[in-house]
Amino acid sequence: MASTTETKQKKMLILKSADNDEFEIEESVGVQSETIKNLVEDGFTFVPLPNVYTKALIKIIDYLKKHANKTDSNDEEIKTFDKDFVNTTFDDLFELVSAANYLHISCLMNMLCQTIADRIKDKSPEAVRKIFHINCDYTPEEEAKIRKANAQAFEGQFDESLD
Amino acid sequence: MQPAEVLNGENIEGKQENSKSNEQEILVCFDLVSTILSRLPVKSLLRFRSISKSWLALIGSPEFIKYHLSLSTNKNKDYTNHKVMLRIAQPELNLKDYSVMDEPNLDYQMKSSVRKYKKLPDFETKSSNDGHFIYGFGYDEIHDDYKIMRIFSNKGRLHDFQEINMYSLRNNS
Repeated sequence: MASTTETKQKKMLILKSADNDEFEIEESVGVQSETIKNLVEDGFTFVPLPNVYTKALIKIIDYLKKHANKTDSNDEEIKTFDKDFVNTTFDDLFELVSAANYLHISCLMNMLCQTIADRIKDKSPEAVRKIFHINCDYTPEEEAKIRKANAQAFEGQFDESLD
Repeated sequence: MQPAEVLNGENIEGKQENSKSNEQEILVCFDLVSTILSRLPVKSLLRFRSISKSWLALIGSPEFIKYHLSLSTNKNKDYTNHKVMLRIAQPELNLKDYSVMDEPNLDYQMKSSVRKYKKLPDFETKSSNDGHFIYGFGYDEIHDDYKIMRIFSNKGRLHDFQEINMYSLRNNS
């Protein structure tokens, strides 16, 4: 009698990316995403993700698999994994953070936002503009005024690199 | 709970449409930007006010300041000045070296971490000038308000006070 419950098959989900690739994952892995969890609770096993592209989805599935198997013994291994995970370009990080936000995976959101913040905190405003693809909408006079009003924050050297 | 929702709870649906329309160029929608910026130290935030008008508006908004404060408090309980600060000042009131206040004399200006100033109303005092003032400045979490308290005491003896004034930033009174 006990054996019948043990041989119970793992429940699977299919995730479909915005560019129509399908990925099969275990339900227990997927439900770390609040968005997926809500759909699973409503009985869905096929989950279209119109805001998440394949490239980001592959990385996120990796992350979810790794973190689903979290135990006390593999703590270091997960830390190393996380460090590698965020070691990428800003554009990749932005795509991942948008996906993590849409999927409501709060631990991943926290990690990505903190990583981006840590990487831009010592940068110059010019570098940050390029990284975030922002056009400066100040006139030179307005910008000079803002800089003057916050002169203390402009003391010292800033990182001009874009990575 | 998702940080983005905390800042912009009503805009979850709209945001999804936004990210769909930006397929070509990777743009981070604005409430995600605020979630990221809320993790920056104050000095970086002051510098990044010069990035664009929308960043300036975001960094100065009360919601952002409050969220930034709640994050930095959670991260490091000793980091923010949540406790009431007290200081004894002579009647000439030189508060220059004090991190939260600026300007001597009776037109105090309060200075938060984003360096916005607010002129405080004149405290009226009936007392003569040979006593001491004790000032307290603190954040009232329950009412989400900053308050300044002034105690006037004769000869600096706290138990001998004659007057207490309380100023609330929210009510400006």
